[in-house]
Amino acid sequence: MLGFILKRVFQNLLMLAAIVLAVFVLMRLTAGDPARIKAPIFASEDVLNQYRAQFGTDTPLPQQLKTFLSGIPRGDFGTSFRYQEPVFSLIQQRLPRTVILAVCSLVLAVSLALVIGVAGARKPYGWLDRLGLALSAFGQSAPTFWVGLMLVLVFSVQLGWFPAVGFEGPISLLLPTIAVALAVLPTDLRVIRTAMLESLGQDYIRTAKAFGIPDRKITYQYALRNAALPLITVVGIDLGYLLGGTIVTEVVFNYPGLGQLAIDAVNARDYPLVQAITIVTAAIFVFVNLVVDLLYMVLDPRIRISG
Amino acid sequence: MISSTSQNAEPMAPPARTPSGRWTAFTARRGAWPLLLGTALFLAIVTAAIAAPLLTPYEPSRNSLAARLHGPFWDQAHKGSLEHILGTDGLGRDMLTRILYGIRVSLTLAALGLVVSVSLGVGVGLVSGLFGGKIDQALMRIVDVQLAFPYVVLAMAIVTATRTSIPILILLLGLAGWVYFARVVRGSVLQEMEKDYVKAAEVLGAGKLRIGLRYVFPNVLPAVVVIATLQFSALIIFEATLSFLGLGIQPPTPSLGGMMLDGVQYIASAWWVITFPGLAVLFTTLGLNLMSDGLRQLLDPRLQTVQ
Repeated sequence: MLGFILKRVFQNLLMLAAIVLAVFVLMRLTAGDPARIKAPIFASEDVLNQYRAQFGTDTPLPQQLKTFLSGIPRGDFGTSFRYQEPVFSLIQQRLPRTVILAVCSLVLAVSLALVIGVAGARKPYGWLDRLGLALSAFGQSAPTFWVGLMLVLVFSVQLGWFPAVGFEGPISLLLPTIAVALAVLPTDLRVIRTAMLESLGQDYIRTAKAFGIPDRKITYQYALRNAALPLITVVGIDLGYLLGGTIVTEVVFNYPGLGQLAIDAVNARDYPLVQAITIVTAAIFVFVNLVVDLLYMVLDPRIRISG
Repeated sequence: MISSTSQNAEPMAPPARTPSGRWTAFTARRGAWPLLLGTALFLAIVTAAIAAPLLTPYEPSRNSLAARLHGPFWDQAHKGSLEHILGTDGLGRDMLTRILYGIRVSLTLAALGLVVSVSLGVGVGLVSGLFGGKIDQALMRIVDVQLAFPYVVLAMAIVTATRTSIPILILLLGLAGWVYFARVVRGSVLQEMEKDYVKAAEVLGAGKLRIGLRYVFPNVLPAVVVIATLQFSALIIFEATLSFLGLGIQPPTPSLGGMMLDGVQYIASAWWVITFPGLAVLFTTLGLNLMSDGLRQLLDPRLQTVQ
């Protein structure tokens, strides 16, 4: 079992290394010259060279890659071209806010999915099940940023219940949370509903019914426990999606998280910052999925044996 | 597409003599109504977009400063009239006209992106499943890396750096979703390869390529069609998102995302500018999602046994 875990960890590290390399190469291939963006439009070649020396983009590519790679273990992702600050501290400021938004949305989406999904599986095509299907269809079809804008339009502009934009304490979290939760709800709901339907159809459930065990107990203790496994997988996937998916929502609500930072960085072609954001996000995604895999092994004895 | 598989699959519907009997038999099947409803919705929108010049007397980019920010026809408070059914935007352009032309642009881009996605994904999936071994492992690692990648950030970085050209936009849309095709096709190929008909073909001396294209591919096709409709809608949303961030189609070419970006500044005074383009995206993707859901249920024999 330990060998298996180590193998998984090693595989994931390898994957991260591939991502780091891919990001570096893609950024260098596609991004223009950051010196030209920073410098005044008609700056002379000398001025441009000064900027290049300052940014470290005057050295050959392999040299740049070496500097970049040797910095990562120390948490040194270079200095932002735009903010003139270490990239690491910029991310450190913004990341917690994005994580809070992602976790709140996830909690909301999963609780809604649990309530509606379990009820839907107990009574397929009942009114709660239909409500769930309608919510899913809407969440899947509407662009997240537009849902956010509609929430602002109705609740901030028309009704004046919430601050429209910016970050003014926990209340500013509510609308973005709803918008993002609606985007992940469809997958969560479908997975829980299917898993519950499946486990409610098992023989041991029929046996439990025959023994006269109350319906409520059968649903929540027997069936739900077995439906929890797919749920964990989905949460892993969701979290990865959320870290990228909140970007546009953050822009809509002017929420000062990692997504805003990413947009600013992209527009300023601040590629140390873009690179670092991409890598940090990917690392979190990989890490969460590794945890999910390991959790699976703890929870499901069958996987432990075959692994 | 369904007919191409009917040679080796059992007949899909119970035989019916009269056309109306066939219709009843079809609509009785699970998934028939979502498919019909979705197709009707989607076709109606596509037809309206194609027939845009016939449906509206206005040009999408002609502005009229005298008719700025008129509301939709029922909104008398904002000078709404039947002249502009859905009102006008900040430059006095007819909303309905711009939405119809915007749908044209969105659908074209998403369709071209889908072609890239399907060709790449199906190709990789077939090769991976047919040849297995090292090739399979290498290709699947690439898939894993892409899935762990915060693709939106990367796409933004590339679009900014290359100054939004349409071929690059299409390529980025295409690269967004190919992994799903690759995974599903590979899985189905592996399943099909275990079946007797493939073994029989092998014994008769058919090469890998012939087995793959002639025998396995037609059986994988239904799954590809289901994901393709789903991905089509995902690409429409992705394109709208990029345009909303100012990274997609550039004005004055009308695009749904661009119109919503434009509407943000009028959110407090003219609600319709931001609402209607979003509804256009919503209905288009809803049609596609319903189609996909219906197809999935129709093509899944396990769901058909429960009538």
